[in-house]
Amino acid sequence: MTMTLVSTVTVGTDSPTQIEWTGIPATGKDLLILVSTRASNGNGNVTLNASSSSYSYESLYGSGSTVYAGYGSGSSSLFIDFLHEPRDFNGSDNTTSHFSNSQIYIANYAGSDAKNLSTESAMEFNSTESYLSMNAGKWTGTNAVTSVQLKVSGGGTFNQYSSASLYIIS
Amino acid sequence: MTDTLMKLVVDLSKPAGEREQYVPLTAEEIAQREADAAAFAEAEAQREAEEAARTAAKASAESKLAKLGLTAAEISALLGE
Repeated sequence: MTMTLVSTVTVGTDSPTQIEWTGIPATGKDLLILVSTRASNGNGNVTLNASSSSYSYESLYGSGSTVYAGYGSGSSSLFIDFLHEPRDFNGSDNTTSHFSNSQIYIANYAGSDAKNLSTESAMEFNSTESYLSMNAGKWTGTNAVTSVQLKVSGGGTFNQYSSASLYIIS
Repeated sequence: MTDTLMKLVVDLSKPAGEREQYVPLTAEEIAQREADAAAFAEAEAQREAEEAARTAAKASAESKLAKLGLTAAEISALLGE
């Protein structure tokens, strides 16, 4: 297995709502995205080929005091908690300047079958509350993945110094 | 920071050094962003309601176990805490 770094981006002062890679070459087997992010508000979503339909996902997460499992289908994107948001989480404000870290794995991205994804995310609150999540996702599109969008919804934007790296696994 | 909603696009078909560009969102992307936010708010509300119900059920169960004579340590052991 070879893991090739294709691109690393770091957000500047322009506060984008999404980070998008386009023109992803179909030279590999799988894609791996590693992110370190923080947002002003909202949640993290992922879309493939800018498609706004045909996603399903299962989520597991724990906060230090609760655990939860959820499921969604027919969604316009994949809810993936790759953000460290300054919102209340069980009564605790997120710690200033802390970023979340996540990985998103997209299998068989250049193939003609539905695309399966898996993610792992961690958010550290420097308190009794922290946050771990795992997601399994599927996009039923059959085209090769040539673009990936990491989005902040809910009115938020990526904070400065958020970064994301795209790797091709071959 | 600008009021215009932007996205950071990395076009891998271009040579290194020319790939990154900040681009305004299209009207369609803005509409989708608003739809995503509404969908997330709905899912989040459902999750919070389920969490609240689960927390209330747990407290109720603990109270009933205590009335049966179980100690706090025994209840904690039963609940796997």
